[in-house]
Order: sequence, then C-alpha cells, then structure tokens
Amino acid sequence: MSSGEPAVRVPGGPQAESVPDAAEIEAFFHEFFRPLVRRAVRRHRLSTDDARDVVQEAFVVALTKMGPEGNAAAWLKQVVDFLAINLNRTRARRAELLRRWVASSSTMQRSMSLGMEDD
Amino acid sequence: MTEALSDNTAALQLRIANWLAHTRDVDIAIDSDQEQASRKALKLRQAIIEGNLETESLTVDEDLKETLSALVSHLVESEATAPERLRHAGAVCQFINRLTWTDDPLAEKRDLLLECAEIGWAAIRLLVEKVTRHDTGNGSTETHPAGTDRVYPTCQPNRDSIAALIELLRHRLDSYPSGVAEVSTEIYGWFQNAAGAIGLSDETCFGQGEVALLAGGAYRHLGKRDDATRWLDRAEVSFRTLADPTGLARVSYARLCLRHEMGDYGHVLAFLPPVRGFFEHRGMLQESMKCRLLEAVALKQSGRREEALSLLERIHFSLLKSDTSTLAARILAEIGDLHQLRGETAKAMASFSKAIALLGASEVCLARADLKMFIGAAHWGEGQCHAALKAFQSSLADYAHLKMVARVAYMRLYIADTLLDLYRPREAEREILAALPTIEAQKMVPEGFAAVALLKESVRRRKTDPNALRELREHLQASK
Repeated sequence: MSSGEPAVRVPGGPQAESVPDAAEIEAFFHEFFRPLVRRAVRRHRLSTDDARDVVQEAFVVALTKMGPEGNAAAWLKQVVDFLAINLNRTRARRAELLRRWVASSSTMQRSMSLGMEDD
Repeated sequence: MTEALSDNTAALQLRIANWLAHTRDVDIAIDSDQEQASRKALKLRQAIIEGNLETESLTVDEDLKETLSALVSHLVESEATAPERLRHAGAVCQFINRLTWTDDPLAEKRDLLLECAEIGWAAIRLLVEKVTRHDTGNGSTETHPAGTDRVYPTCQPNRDSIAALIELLRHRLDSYPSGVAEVSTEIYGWFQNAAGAIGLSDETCFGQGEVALLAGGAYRHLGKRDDATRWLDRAEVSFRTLADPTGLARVSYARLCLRHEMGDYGHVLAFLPPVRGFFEHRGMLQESMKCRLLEAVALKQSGRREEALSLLERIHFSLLKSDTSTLAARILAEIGDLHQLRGETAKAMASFSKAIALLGASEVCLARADLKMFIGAAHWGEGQCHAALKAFQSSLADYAHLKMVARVAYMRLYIADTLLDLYRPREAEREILAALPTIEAQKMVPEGFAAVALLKESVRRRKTDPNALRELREHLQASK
C-alpha cells in the first residue's frame, strides 16, 4: 500500500456493498481523519495508535454533542485536543501512582525482610 | 447564514456517522512511520534553511504533510539558540505559506503556520527579555539598558532572522493586533538602543522600518490613529535612510488605509493609483490586490457601488489562481456586502458562505469579525432581527477578543439599534451607555458631537431616540 492510503478493512464486509461509499470513506480519511491524527501526534506527542483512538473517540463524541452552531471543524479539533490532554493526564497520574506504589511496596518488602533478619 | 452553518454541521455529522459505521471493530492502518517522518523532516529543514527548495516543484500529498508536521514538532523541541529558532521558524513559515494546499477543511496549513508563528513568538520574547533584563547574580533581575557586551554576544540576529521575525509578527497582525503592537514597540526600542551592536547599521535600520510599519498597522487596527501615524512616520524615516522605494510604497499604502478609516475616501481614491502602479510594476501581486481592495471599499463608501462591485469581481477572479485565502475571504465579504446593499440578499449570502468556507477553522481575526458584521447587516436588511442580533453579538465578541475598542463601541450601537427594533429598549440603553465613553474618549466622531449629546440625553431620560442613534451610527460609519 502506498503511503497515505486508507487501509480500512471491514471484516466480512462484501466488497460490492462498500463500493458506493469507498470514495467517500477515502475522502473523509484524507480530509478529516488523517489531519486530526497528525494534529494529536504533533501537538500532544501521542503515538500514531493512541492518536488514532483519540480521533475515533472524538468522532463518537461529535455524533452526540456537536451543536448546530459555530465552526464544526474547529469544534472537532478542540475535542481531539481535550481528549489527547486527558489521555496524557491519565497516563501521567497512573505513572505517578505506579511509581509511588512501587516505592512503598519495595520499602515494605525491605522492612519485612529486615524484620525477618531481626527475628 | 446560521442555517448554513447548521447545514455544514449536519453534513459533517452524517459523514462521521458513515465513517464510524465503516470502521467499527476495524483496524484502521495508517501507513505512517514516525521515525522515517522525523528523518525526512530534518532533511527538509536543512533544505529550507539553505534555500534549496522550490515550492512549485512540490506536491502537497500525505507524505509531505506528514513530514511538515514532524518538522514543526522538531522546531518545538529544538534546543537551538533563540535567534536560530527564530530564523528556522521564519524560514519554515515562509515555505509553508508558499505551498498550495487543496482540500483542507480542517485548515491544517493555517494550523502549521500558526504553530511556527508561536515558536517564533516565543523566541522573540526570549530575545527581548535577554536584551532588556539580565541576571544580577543575586537571584533578582533588573532592567538593563540594552546594548551591553554582557547580553549581546548571545543574541545577534542577522538580516535573515530579522526578516523571519517580521514575517512572524505580520502573521499575527490580524489575529492579535494588541500583542503585535506591544512586541513591535519593544523590538523597535531594542533596535534603537542597540544601534551598532546588531549586525550592520542598515540591518538595524531595516529592522526598525519593518517593525515600525507593523506597529503602525497594529495601532490602526486598535483604533489608535495618532499612535499609528507616529509609527508610520518612524517607518518612513527608516526607509528613506535606506533609500528603499518598496518600503516607502508600503508606508504610503498604510497611510492610505489610515485615511480611509478616517473617512477621507476622496484622498484615498486620488493617491492610491500610483502606489498600486508601483506594486504592479514590481510584480508584488499581494500588495497590488490589497490596493485594489482598498480602492473598491473606498468606492463603496463614496456611494459608487456599481464601480466597487465590478472592481471586486475582477480582483476576485484574478485571485482564484493564488492561495491567499484571507484576502479572498475579505474580497468575498465585501462583494456580499455590496449585494446586500443592493437588496440582493440571496447573492449576498452566497458570497458570505464562500467567505466562511475560505476562513475555515481560523482563529478569531479581523476578517471573521467583519464578515459576521456584514452577515448581521444582511439579516437586518431582511427584517430578521433575531438573526441579525446574534451575528452582531458574535462580531462584537470577536472585536472584543482582538481588543479593538473602537469597533466594539461601533458594534454596540448596531446592537442597540437592533434591540430597539425588537422592542427591548432597556437592553438597548445598556449597550449605548457602554459604547459612549469609548466614542467620546477616542474622539471617534469629531463632527458627530451633537448626535452623541442628543443620544446621551435621550438615554438619560430613558427614552432612547432611534433617530439620534442612527445619526451617530452614520457618522461612525463614515469615520470607521
């Protein structure tokens, strides 16, 4: 596959059924999906896989929450930014908790082993 | 127009639903290798900096977009010195600006340009701080006269980085005039104090001229006409010293813009042709188009609407070949306004829709705020007061965001007039009372003093006089 081509594989989806939409799907991929993935990678330092998930999540949010007024494209970019920030924040918090947990458990282990030596 | 925006959203939601239906439980493979993009970005940066790249030979495909995105990431993370970062950001900004980007509903090109501008902006602030402050060694900082040996060895921009700095500031002029005014003033002072310490003397003079010209434009946007005139005088002095005819022609254009805002349309129409002729002779397409736009708006304000429309349609046709979306959007907005004034609302709305599409997802800027005002006027002309009010309020919010106080006051009067049509006199009074101090303080209507007094008195009696309000608005329109 050449660089930049969408590789959407619909499992079990008959080819004939997707033909009328193939051009639209490819257009959407180039106009919206890929630029939003690039934005999340560039601005939020996400991996391509994480960025892809964030953008898909933003699309789901857009289906239910996008209002009729204002600039839809700008709204979509903002949602991607919020979701990417949330993802990074959650990761940082988890990493911090893990770091603390590892530190406290190793202290506990050390004190337990010291206690055993005392015995 | 509000309906048009809703249609756009509905269409996008339909496309999203279609996309999600096709990609549910599916692995969307993106053929993208971040490491490879990063390597390509570094090569591209080198080629851009060395000036070895012609944009005409490049196709903006996914591969190039990926590389440019990685390149902007590199600029953000770069550990280069402030002048180097400034130079790199400016070069990349100029390069991206020259690329022709098709099918860009998310305004990715504009985002990349703005991110480059932000990087350059940060470098500029760092440079200014380095020059004006230095560490005293005891943990505190003190203001330091610029131009000392302790500071300058770390920040000596050459002509390239000055040009990059100007490009970046120019990029923010329409969307952040107050910031451009502030930074331009700081940098001008820096050049002035550092005479002899930064590069060659003509480089200092060039920097001063360009920065003063920018400051003049920024103060004009902010409605501070005396300041704008002073800055344009400074720019003229620098360009005269350099014997730079292009710089002098740009100052002349800026002065004509200022005269236009003061309502001196006859003067603008009389003196614009030689300036435009100079730009055309030099092949400066963008500048000559801006002159034609100014000429058309002056014709419109002078009541020569047919000539204005014909000129705008001609320049819009010739602009289609180049990629200057903000200028094209401004031209379309003016075409729409002229249709609206002729009572051709459908044509006006069609032009406004095209202008909205061109501005895309741009941040708040002067062109957007003006466009909203035109849309409001079109709704108002059709008797759709609620839609008009909404558009005017949105325009006012944009002008307030841009800190354009004179325009904010002007919009308040429009809103007050619409509120009176909607039989909401108390809210109209509040808008007028909020606008009058600015109108008086900024001396926006020297010849409309009587109308201000009349309106003030009628509001004081809690019986707003719509005729006084309209008279004042007309005075303001003539001097806007």
